[in-house]
Amino acid sequence: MADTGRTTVRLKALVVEDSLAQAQYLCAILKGCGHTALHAADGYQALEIYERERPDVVLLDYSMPGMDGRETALRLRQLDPTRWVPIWFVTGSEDTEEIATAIAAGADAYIPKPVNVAILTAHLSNAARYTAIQRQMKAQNSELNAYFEVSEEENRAARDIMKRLLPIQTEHGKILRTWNSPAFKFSGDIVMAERSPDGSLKVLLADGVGHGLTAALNVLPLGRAFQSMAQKGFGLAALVTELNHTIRRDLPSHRFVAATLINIDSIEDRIEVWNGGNPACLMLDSRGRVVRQWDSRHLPLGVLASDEIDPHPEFEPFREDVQIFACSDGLLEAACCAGRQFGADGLRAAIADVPVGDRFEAIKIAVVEHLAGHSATDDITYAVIDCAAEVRRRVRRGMETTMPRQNLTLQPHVQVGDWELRLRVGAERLKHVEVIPILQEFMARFDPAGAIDRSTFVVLNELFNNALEHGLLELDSRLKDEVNGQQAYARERERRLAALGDGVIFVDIARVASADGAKLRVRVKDSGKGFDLDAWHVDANALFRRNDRGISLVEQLCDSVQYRDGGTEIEVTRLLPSSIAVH
Amino acid sequence: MNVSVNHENGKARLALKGRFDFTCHRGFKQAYEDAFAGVSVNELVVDMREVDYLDSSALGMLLLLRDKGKAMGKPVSLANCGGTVRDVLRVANFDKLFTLH
Repeated sequence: MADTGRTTVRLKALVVEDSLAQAQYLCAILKGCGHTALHAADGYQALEIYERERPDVVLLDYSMPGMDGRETALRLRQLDPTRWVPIWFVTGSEDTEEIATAIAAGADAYIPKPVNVAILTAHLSNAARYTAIQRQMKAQNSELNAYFEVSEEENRAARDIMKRLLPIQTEHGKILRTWNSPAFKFSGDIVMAERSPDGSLKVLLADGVGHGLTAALNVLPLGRAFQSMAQKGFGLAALVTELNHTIRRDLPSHRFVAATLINIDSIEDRIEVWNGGNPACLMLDSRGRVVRQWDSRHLPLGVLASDEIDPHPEFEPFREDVQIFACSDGLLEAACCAGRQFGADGLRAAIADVPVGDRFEAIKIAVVEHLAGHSATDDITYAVIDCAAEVRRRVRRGMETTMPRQNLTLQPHVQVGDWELRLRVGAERLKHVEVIPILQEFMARFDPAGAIDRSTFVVLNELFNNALEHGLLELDSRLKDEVNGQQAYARERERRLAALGDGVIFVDIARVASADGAKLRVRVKDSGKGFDLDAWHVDANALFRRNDRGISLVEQLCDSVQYRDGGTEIEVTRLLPSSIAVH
Repeated sequence: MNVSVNHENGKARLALKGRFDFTCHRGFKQAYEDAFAGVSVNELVVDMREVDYLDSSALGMLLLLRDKGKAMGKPVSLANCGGTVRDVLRVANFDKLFTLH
């Protein structure tokens, strides 16, 4: 079938021709085929019209006075380097050398004079097809660009939201250092840290399933839950249970999060770790050797129902001379071009004999060197907790809490005795409810300044645990002194609590007036057998023994401590921080 | 990743080959759903012998498979888990969820 040259694409053709008759002839053919024709009488005019009109095809007379066809073609190409516009030479010459020169100058076709209508029509039909494709590509390209821009904008917004929900924490600077290198735009790994009211440092290192935005979405619900639970002073077991519940409630069923939870417990003076699905968490001594390793003993968070998981951490006595190291699997699996993984060996080599202060950087350098420019396929995250820095912080805080009272004076207008809370808790609730954080929340409503005070929390916590562990469960603190005693003590506590048949703890907290100003009075009484007051107190006065740290702290932090009813009741008072000012 | 399926005595055996990661989601799901759809199938075994690597997304897929198996009352187990595969499963403590042969 003869090609009529009529196509759906209407071309804009530029005819560059010094002969008016020839130009009119060509324009007539073009218009006959349904295209638009523009005419330029010479090369200079051609450049001018081209720039203004951006034609789809150029028909160029080779031999023109002034700027010849070859020169015009070269300059037209320079004018529009990103678009492909066919340039056809129209020439009467049969000189093959001239034709070759024309093609070398950038001509796409050569149309001999006199111009044959059929040949020109065929060329136009080809050009129309190319132009159609080119226009379509351009449209798709701009669509793609628009999509890209929207996507970038969404990414920016998502990153911003994540930054707010999972803030990067800097206040733990010297104690906790973390490194996160996402494989894609978003990290599915997070590290969060939070101080509990008793001064314990809780750290979460979590790694969501997959990579990129979906993985980042998986860890998102954890941020707020972790923050609020830790701030309220819940223990690691309660945190694990809550985070597990959060993931199961907020994410689809196959989404889970590998997590390492660490608690540097300043009251019990121990390090607690719960590891579900992450590489081993390590305790490193001063020479960079692994002295304790917490392997993953649990399924990642979100896999099991909350009553199926074992949320109890494993302990190790606190040591000043160690660092705690935790990482996501991305660190150990970081593979170089040859596919060799960084591995536990790479990690150990990176820290062996490296001074404590340089270790954090040494790991980073080693893994970057190992990757050697190859990009990792998974998010890489690790965290290092420096126990010596934690001790320095404690010493600073300790000085604050034992500040001599004569430097303190009273604010004159203090209202006192405005509230009192009495609570009775029986055995069943004691098994399942963490009482202290609830009291803490209550206090936050009634005496905000008292509630945020770390010392108040320590006192409440110690008194309550004393009533529970020694009063009701009749546990002997000396158990903690034995090898692995902390662990054994915790196991025994758990076992006896589960078996507790009856028993009651009474708590009475009140704001009371005194000659010195507003005080907090706390009474804790239990239904246990009590103890030999004299013998116990002698023991409690051995201030520097680790296990009695709790009760010696209470004595330091309170203005008065009284024991009653054969040791079943303790009453303490403490000046409320809201009523004191430092000079 | 390649998935090949064969049946013997009511047991569907899904043999996986290559990298088991987030790119395999559709193929793997299709394979086990087809296998479960078989009337005579009352047990499913995932053969990991030729899996070179699995990532956390693969663990997620195994969990989905386990849920599906539970819902249909057809036990799911993993076979021939060695090397890297065994390490990854062990770190995630998946041996507590699946029978490993």
